[in-house]
Amino acid sequence: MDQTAQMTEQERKISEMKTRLMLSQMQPHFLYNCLNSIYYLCGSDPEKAQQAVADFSDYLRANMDSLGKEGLVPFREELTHVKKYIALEKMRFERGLQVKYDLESDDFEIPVLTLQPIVENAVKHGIEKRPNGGTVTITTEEQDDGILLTVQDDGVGFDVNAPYPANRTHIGIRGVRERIERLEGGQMFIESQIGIGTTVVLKIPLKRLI
Amino acid sequence: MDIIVCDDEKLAEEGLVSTVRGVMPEAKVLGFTLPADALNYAEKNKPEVAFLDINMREINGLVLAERMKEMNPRINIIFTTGYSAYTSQAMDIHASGYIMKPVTEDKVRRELMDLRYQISSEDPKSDSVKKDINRISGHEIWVRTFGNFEIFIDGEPAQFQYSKTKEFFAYLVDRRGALVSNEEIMDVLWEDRDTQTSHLSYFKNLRTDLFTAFESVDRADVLIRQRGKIGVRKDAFGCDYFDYLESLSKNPDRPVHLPLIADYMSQYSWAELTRGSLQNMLYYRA
Repeated sequence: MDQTAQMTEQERKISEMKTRLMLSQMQPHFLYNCLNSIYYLCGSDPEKAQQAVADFSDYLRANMDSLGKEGLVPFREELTHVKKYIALEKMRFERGLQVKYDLESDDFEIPVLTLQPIVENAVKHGIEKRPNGGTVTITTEEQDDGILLTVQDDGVGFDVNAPYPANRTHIGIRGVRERIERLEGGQMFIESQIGIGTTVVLKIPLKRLI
Repeated sequence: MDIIVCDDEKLAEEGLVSTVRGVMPEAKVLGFTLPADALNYAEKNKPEVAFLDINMREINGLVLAERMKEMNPRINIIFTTGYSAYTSQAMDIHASGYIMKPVTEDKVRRELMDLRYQISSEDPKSDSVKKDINRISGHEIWVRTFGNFEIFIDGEPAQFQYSKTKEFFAYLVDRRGALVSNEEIMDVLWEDRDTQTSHLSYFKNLRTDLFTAFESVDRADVLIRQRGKIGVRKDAFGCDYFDYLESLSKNPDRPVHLPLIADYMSQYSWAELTRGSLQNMLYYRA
C-alpha cells in the first residue's frame, strides 16, 4: 500500500477500535436492566428510585467521559465509579453482594477504566453465579516501587488455562491488561480456583512513563 | 441564607427548590422560571447563592450569571446542566460551582459546603448564614466515650461484622490521633502474646471491617494510614472525650461540665490508664 492508503487504513482501524470500545462501554443489557428496576422502584420505593436514577446517570457519565480520557486518573475517581456500579448491581441483584475495602493508600493514579471492568467481571462471572451471592474485596498495598491493587472475589472461579470466550467482558479485561502493561513496570496477574474464587492483582508502578 | 434558583423548565425548577430546601430547611429558597424575574429579585434582595441552569431558551445561564455578578460581585453562582461543555466559561465567570443533572441533595450539599465567596463578618446576616452552613454536613459521625463506647453514624450506632472492630476503633480514639502499629493494636486486643501469628489474619479482617464501614458511607477520611500505622483523624468526627479535653485546656481556672470519668470506655479494661489520668487531671485542677 502507498503512504496515503496506509494512513487511511490506520485511521480506519483506530476509528473501528474506538467504536468497539464505545459499544462495549454502552452495555445495553446492563442499561435496560437498570431502567427496568428503576421503573418498578418508582412505584414501590420512590426514594430508592431517585437514588438509583442519580447513580445510574453518574455511572453512565463516567463511562462516556472515560472514552475521551487518555492516560491516568486519580484512584479515588475510579473507586467512585466502581461504587456507583456496585450500587446499581445491588439494586438489581437480590442474592447478596458485599464489597469490602482495605486501602492502605488511595493517593495514586491509575489508567482510566481499569478498576471497574475487573470488579464488574468479579460480580458477573464470579458472584452472580453463586446461589447466595458473595463478597468482592478491594485492597491496595504500598510497595517500594509502586502500588499493588487487588480485587478478590469468592465467586465460582474459572479455569485459567481454558481459552477465553470472545465476549464483551473479555474485551474489557484485555483492555485493562493493555492499559496497565503500557505503563513501564505495570503488570496484571489473574489467579482463580474453581469453586473458591478469583484474584486479580494489578501492579501500578510509581514512576509512570507512558 | 438567601438562595434563588432559575430554570426555565417548571419541573426542574420546582425539583431544584425542593432539593435545596431538603438540604437547608432554614434557608429562604425562591425559584424562578423567567430569568428576568430572577434578575429583578437578585437586584433587590442580594441572595448569597444562585443556582442557574445554563441551557435556557430565552437567555442563557452564563449571561444571566454575568448580569447578577455585575450587581453583586460576591454572589455565589452554581450552574446546573446536563452537558459538560461549559466548564471553561463557568470558570471565566468565577462561578462557585457546577452541578451535573440530575441535581441531588448530595451534590447541592457539596456545593453549599464549599462556596467560593464567604459572607463578610460585618454583614448583619453573617451569623445566620454561618449557622446554616455549619448545620449541613456529610454523613455525621459522633463518638461517645463516657458511658458505653459507641460510634454513631447519622445518629445510628455503627454496625460492624466483628465485635472487636469497635474495640479496635476505641483504642485509636483513646490514642487521640497518634499513629499506632499493628503490633500495638494486637497486643491490646489480645492479651496473650504467644499466639501473635494466628491473630494477624484476624486482625486484618478487623481492619478491613473497620475501613469498609467508613468507606461505605464515604467517610474514609476518619482513618489515617501511614507507613504501616493507623490512627484516627481527630477533626473528622465529633467526640465527647476530645471536647472534654479541649474545654479543660480552654478554661484552666473555671469549672467545666464534668462527665462521669469512671464511665470512660467502661467496657474496655485497657482504658483504665486513661481513666486514671483523667482523674489525676481533675485532682490537680482543684
